[in-house]
Amino acid sequence: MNVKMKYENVYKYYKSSKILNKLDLEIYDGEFLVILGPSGTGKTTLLRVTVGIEDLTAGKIIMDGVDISKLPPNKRNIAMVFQNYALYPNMTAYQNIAFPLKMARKPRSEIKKKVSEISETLKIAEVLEKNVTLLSGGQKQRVALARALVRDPKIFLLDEPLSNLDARVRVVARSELKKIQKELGHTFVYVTHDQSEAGSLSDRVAILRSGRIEQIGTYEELLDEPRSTWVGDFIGDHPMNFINGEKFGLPKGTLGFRDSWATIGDGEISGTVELCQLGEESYHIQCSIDSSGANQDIDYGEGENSSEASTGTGNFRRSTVGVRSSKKYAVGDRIRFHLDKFNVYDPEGKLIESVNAK
Amino acid sequence: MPNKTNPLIYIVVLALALLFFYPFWVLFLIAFEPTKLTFGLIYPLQFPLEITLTNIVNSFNQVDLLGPLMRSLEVAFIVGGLALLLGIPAGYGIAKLTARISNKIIAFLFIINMMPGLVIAIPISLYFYSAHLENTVLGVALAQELVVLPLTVFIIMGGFRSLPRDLENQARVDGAPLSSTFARVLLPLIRVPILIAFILSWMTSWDEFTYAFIVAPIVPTDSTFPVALYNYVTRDLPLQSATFALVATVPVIVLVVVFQKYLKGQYLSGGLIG
Repeated sequence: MNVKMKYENVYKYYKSSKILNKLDLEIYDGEFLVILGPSGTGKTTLLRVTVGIEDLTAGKIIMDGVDISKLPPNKRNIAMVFQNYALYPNMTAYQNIAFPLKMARKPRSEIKKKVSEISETLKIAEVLEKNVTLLSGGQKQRVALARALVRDPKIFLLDEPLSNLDARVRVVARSELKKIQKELGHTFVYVTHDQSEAGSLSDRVAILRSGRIEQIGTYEELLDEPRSTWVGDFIGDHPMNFINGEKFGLPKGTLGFRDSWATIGDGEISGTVELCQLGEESYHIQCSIDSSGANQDIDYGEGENSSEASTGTGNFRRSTVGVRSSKKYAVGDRIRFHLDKFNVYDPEGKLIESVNAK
Repeated sequence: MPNKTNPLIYIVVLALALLFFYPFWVLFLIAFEPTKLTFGLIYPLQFPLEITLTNIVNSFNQVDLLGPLMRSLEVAFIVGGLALLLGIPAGYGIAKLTARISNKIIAFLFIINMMPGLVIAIPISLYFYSAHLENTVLGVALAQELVVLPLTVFIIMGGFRSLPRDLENQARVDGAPLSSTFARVLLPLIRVPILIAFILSWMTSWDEFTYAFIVAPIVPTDSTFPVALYNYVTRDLPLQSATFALVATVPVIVLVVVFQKYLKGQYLSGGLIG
């Protein structure tokens, strides 16, 4: 894959706070890259320095082999859709979409042709003559997208463009966005804190944490092999479970703790315990090396078909454990875990190994 | 708020309206009634028994009304125009600062308005003499600019501040240079604050006296109409003064009627995005 855009040692400080802190990232040509991270980790700042409305403190942004980090925004040929769409309220939808073309001094006939093409694609042809303040949220979002798409830029940046839509429209818009990106073959960089968006839209997901990329890969890779406990905790519909304990032999993927684990009908539920509460998605357990004792009871709470949560205390940092079994468990029951797949992290939270015991 | 308006409100509004209207009414009586019904009586009637244009015609013949009025118009348009020319960039710049700093700057600007006009006008007039700005339209306009500029900057700043910052960023991302960003996006969006700032500057200049009197006191060749008016009053020409005052209210009334829909409090506080 060709590298479209490359960030090298990018720093962005506001006064004393480090928003982007030695960020390195490569974006491939034609990919849909989702930048995912909790609020306040610099996602939006990353887009703003990319497009040029904020200056870098240090570092380089290279697009198609050219360092663009010193160029003003109007010379970068990068389109951006802001979170609030930033439609020009004094203009109609048509004028909004035509604005970038007008600024590029395109002939009137070409502007007209391009605007009508893109508005056909995005199904907003009938609202073109309306003032944008009169449009619905979904229409505004399409107009903003159309304005970005119409000028044929080198890369598209989208800052949580779906977050202002209501849930149902959002799901539709999401699939359309993906379709449009595939059809046009453009490079999209999409910022969100919504994991379901990341999962459904992305070719790759870059996880941003404290101003640098914590991990980048497909969403499945991130789910399967979070490179740190932080990512494991952050990604997925539910956080990973972490059990602090000593690392030991782990025969056949069975993870148990010395001394204290009694089991319910030993073997009966072997292979059926899921940690992570991710439904069918994963069978992870993480064991970080810790010499503290592991006297651990699992108190099972209520649940349908015993597949619901349990509550643990003590060494369980995450207390939700899913169990797939037809057997009902009672509070105070003890079980032994059998794990198909789990990751082992060091005390600092870095991945040591990923074990697939299947 | 109850949907039904209390009839008392109308009574109060009417009373207030009459109160404000009364001086204008007296002016009207003096200007259009024969002098025997106004100055000829110890207790003039409050209703016009006879209407005449003689006073007006005579006044225009006896004293130069048009000269000062035209000069006032010139000055007022220069003051209004200059206020926008300086106030728009200043308001834009100050709006970009953090509120902590910009509030201090605004307060600093208003120091001019807090001081008595004379305190500032006299030293300024000295400089104006050496710059040959005394007794000139430009001189009066520049001096009056001092009075109107702080409020103009304040209003324009409010306008810029009410715009989402991303609009400007979006325009830049869309490839617009600063000039187009201003001309096509920012200025059209703050047209109401701009208009208000212009009208207020214009009206302030229109009846500004202190600076005009000190910078250009010579009646009728150099002064603006408030100075000329003052001159006629002190020379005991009440009829001419009344006529003059009446004529002078016409442009203000026209302005207010034309732009009244914009002259609402909400625009002065800068909440223009609907």
